[in-house]
Amino acid sequence: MIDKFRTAFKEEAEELLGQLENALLEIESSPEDPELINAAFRAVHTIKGSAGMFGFEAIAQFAHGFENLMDLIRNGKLSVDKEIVNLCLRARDHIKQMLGEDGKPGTELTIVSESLSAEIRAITELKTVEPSGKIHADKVLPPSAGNAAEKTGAGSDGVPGNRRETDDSSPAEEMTYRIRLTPSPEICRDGTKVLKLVQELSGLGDCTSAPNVSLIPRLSALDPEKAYCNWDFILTTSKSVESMREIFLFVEDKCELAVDRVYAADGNEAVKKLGEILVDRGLVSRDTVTDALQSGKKLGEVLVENKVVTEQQLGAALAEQEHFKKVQEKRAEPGMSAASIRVASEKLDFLVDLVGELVTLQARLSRTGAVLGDSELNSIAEQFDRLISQLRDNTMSIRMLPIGSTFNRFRRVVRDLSMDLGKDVELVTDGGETELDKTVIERLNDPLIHIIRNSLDHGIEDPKMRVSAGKQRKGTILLSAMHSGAHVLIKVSDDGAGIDVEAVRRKAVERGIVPSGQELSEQEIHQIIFQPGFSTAPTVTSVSGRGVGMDVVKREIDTLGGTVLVSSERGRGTTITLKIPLTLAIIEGLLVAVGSEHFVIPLASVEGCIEIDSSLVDGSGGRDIIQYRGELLPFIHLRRFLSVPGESPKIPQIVIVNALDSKVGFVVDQVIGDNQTVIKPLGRMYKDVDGISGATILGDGTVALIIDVNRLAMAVHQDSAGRSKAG
Amino acid sequence: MENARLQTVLEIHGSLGIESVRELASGFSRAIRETGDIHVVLSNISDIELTGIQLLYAAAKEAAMAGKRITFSGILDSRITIKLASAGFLKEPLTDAADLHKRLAGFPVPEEAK
Repeated sequence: MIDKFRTAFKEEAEELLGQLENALLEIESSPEDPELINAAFRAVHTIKGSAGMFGFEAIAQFAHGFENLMDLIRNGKLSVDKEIVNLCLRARDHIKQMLGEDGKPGTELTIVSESLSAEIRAITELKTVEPSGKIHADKVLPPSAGNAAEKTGAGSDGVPGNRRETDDSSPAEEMTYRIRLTPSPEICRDGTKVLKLVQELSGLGDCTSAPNVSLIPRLSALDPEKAYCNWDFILTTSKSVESMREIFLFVEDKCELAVDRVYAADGNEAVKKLGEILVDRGLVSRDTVTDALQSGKKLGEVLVENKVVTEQQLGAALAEQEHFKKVQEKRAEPGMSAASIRVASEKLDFLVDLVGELVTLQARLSRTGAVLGDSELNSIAEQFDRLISQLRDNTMSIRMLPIGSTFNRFRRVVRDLSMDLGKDVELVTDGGETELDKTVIERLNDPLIHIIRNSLDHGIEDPKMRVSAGKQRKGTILLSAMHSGAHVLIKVSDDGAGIDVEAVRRKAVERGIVPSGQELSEQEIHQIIFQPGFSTAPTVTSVSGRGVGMDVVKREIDTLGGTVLVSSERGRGTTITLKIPLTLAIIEGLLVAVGSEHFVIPLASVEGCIEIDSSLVDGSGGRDIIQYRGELLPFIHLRRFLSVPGESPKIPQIVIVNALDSKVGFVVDQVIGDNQTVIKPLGRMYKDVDGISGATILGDGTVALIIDVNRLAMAVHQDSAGRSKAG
Repeated sequence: MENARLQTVLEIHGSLGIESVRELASGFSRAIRETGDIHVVLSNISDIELTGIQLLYAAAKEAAMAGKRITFSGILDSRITIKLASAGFLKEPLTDAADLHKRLAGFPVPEEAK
């Protein structure tokens, strides 16, 4: 059980470290943004609190010092510069490493801990000014409902020092609080932005804010720089009281924050009557309410008429009642009880595997129904088919994740590498909300890192060169994603020097990649950068230049069933586009037959099918070219390419596919139809089989191989080019 | 600031907060003292803080006591109106400031206009 909690902590800490990294990177360009600084502080604070709670003592201890540093920043006692951001990022990385060692760092990490802590202490001790001496004025009032005081952690006297701290960081149940904020009259004079703090508080959950504007005097009596308003809030949130207090931590001596939990977490409590709320708020006694109710008039009206409560107090009580009604209505809505849950990714993988088995079984059921000609069985098979389709789509959608989380990681890569290279580069991202299967996202990480490193090292010029070329000193790398049919297009564009086509050609000839004198199109030259061992860099740097990387990109994208396209303009920059299938688990395929073998062509690549007389496609006439919708397209015989024995039928069919940014044809014996294809990896023995990317099991239990459309398209082009030269 | 019939038009630029509030308070005082209703153009304000919103309420209270009213116009920056809504001054964010005097919670209006 404890292990389960520790795992949950590690997952949460990883997320928080991601948020911390993002906040720190943004703070670097907006060093005075209080929201960013607060976000970074909260992340460190939460990690510290949770680490201590779950036995990660070393992390808690280290984070404590880190938190002190963040606290100085957020109190405006330490201004943020690049050095401070660097230190914070190093501290963040160190926590991540300690997490990796299960919170029990070895000797090496302990030394790093001590050295980093000393660096942090050197700053915090230097910057620490004497404390204000004032006692934090907030208080947690004993809640009215039963044992709520115990649940909020408030002691019987409501003094913070006497309460048991609740777990601030772990997700808690939703509770409703009544909060009274009373800023001191002088709070605004030093520039404190009260409305911003109020906005932050109300952002913690469903909040009804009621400012007491009756306290604002007429203009002739107004001191314009003084604060007059106070607020009553009703806040329904899963955040702790501590989170609320944190917002006002750096103005704790300039305001009073009273928090009182008023409703239980389960939301089953009946909405309180107005009289009860007023009694709870200490504004009237029960007897007064009883007397007022006997008048037969509306309770609020009577109490205001009799000057027992002010209109403002009545308004706040009514707002509380209204707020709770809304919260209850919201909870009653279907699907609102749990907005999201955390599930281990292995469980999702297992679910997808099971759905894949069901899809295969369903195909078998349909086939058996058809063979037996049993109408009842066929009817069941059809219903089963519909359900399985829904289950498949639903399951696949659960595995879809926005690619933005991966994009965010590259911001750090760009920052650190550009510093190493002495360049000034900004990473701009777009389309981070685009969703892709999680396994695809995981496998995109390395290729994208290689491309970005390459852009940084070879693409973006150093600041001097950029300025002399009439460009802005700061270079930009744009990382974007967008859906395009059953694919996602991911583009990495830089505004650097562009690919020097001549230099690439020269180097390719020098290294024997291309024969001297061979005519190559610009696109073909661009593709050379993906050849193993190719690099035009004159020197090897820690970033690139060894020619290892871009070939890895190509290989990885190929195995994902995607394509890599390059466009570049000398002096203007380069764009590398990755076209990736949305999912790798279950795809829509086109089932075709060649001899007694079955193959699946991914339907997303299929453009159309045509029948043609075998005499026109036997290859004896020279080049294998057909006319399709006014275009001349090369084609390839799957039978020959895959060495399937037997003769072609008299009228074979050609499947036209779109691959590598052009159309090609695959000659097959028969097009059978669409097929829900559960992709199974080929075993180690078959992983290098040319032209095949995987396998699937058909309804009759036989195996169909899945065509690697890109590889075959390349073979078609090579074949076509070879014949052209021969001709 | 310009006079148009019996109305003074005040156009506020920049942040409506501690840095400008004293000067604006003088402007409002003069306008209420010297002319009729006051019309405030808010399209060029970049931010608002507690002192700024308090000033609008205080000026409206002063004007209401003198039988005058304060009206508004201009397209509000969404960040400003969201901030006012979060703090409870508005029930919900609004874009056009034309209705602001009717939508601000408890905003003072002259007795005869109620």
